[in-house]
Amino acid sequence: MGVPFMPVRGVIGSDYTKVRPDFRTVKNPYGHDDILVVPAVSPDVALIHAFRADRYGNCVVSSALDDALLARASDKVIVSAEEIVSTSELTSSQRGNFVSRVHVSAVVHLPGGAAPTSCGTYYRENEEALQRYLAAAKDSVLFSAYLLEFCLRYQHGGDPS
Amino acid sequence: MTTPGFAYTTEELMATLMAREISNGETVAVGTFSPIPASAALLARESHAPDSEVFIMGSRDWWPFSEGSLEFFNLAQRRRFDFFFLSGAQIDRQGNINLQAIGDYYRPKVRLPGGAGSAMLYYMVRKVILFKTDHTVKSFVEKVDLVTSAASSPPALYRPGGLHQVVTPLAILVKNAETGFLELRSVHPGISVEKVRANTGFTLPAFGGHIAESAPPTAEELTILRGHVREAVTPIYPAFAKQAFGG
Repeated sequence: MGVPFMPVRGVIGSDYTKVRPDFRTVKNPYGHDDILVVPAVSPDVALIHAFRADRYGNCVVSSALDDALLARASDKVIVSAEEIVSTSELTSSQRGNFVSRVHVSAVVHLPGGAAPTSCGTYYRENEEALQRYLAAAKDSVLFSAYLLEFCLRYQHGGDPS
Repeated sequence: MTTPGFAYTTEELMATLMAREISNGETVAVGTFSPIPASAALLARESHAPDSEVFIMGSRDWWPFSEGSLEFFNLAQRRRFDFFFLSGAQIDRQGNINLQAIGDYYRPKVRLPGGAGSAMLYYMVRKVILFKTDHTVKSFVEKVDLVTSAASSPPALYRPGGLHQVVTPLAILVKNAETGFLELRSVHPGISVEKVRANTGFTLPAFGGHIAESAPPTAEELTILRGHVREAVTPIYPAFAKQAFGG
């Protein structure tokens, strides 16, 4: 949106105003109440995973998530996608949010890119992998093994499926 | 889990008690990790509140939004929700909730998922039901370690919403408007007042001087829960749908 802060209802009276000094209480300039303002979140880079993208960066993302919002807030946006399709196929495709190429810096074809979480109609969550992650998160040896199996092998051209 | 000696599960009882609070035509919103509230909203719609609008986060069928959680939260800020359901690792005597951390915020003993939208929803949703799947002295405390969402707020703040009631596996608590503290409205069938008080970390007087017994689910309510509701929550909460319903 390009504005420095946003008013938010509620929050005042909770401890967030103590532990987050960047959350400020101001007088509503258009009313008689106090209101909280929070600073803009402007990421340098956003990585979002789309259902489909075209080669120009136009893409369709989940409407259940805030990926489209994230794309519009970030300086650089790298889109990975289950499928790369033509622009005409993209605009006539499945339910989801359209993100314009205007916001997108790069597109990567990455089937399975949301795993082990789910991705629309493409695949469900991989419960076994998620359970392994939960166990691995508590142990540095297990975590290294998990990283190697599920992440680092892609660096060496591993099969992403 | 089935309570020994009863023909319904604790989840069915809690969902039924929440569902009965909803009037026909009201808008009911359900957030993440809330299988019992989701069941309650669907039960109400399938029984006495057929014209109610139901939104369930994480559901394809009950999520008519195109712009993610932003659109949902903005609708809440516009006072369009009559009901929302919040929980907390801790709930205190005043009805404050803690979803952030056990212990010190900067050096937590347990780091929790965080308050998310609760710090706004508790203020902007007309009737907020707090729910908890355990009722112990550790979860119902005199004062929460960190207030992620406050039951009361300064008078200069615009606040159309707030606490409606607290539903636990043992009892229903409500706020005494004069003292600002939670009190005991009803105990569930087979649960003694002593047991509720022994499992609560603060003094719990009888609301209005009288403690009722919560009315158990009727045969009709159980039929709807075990049929339509179980089916509807299965895609969102498969593990819950398997174990929460009796019959």
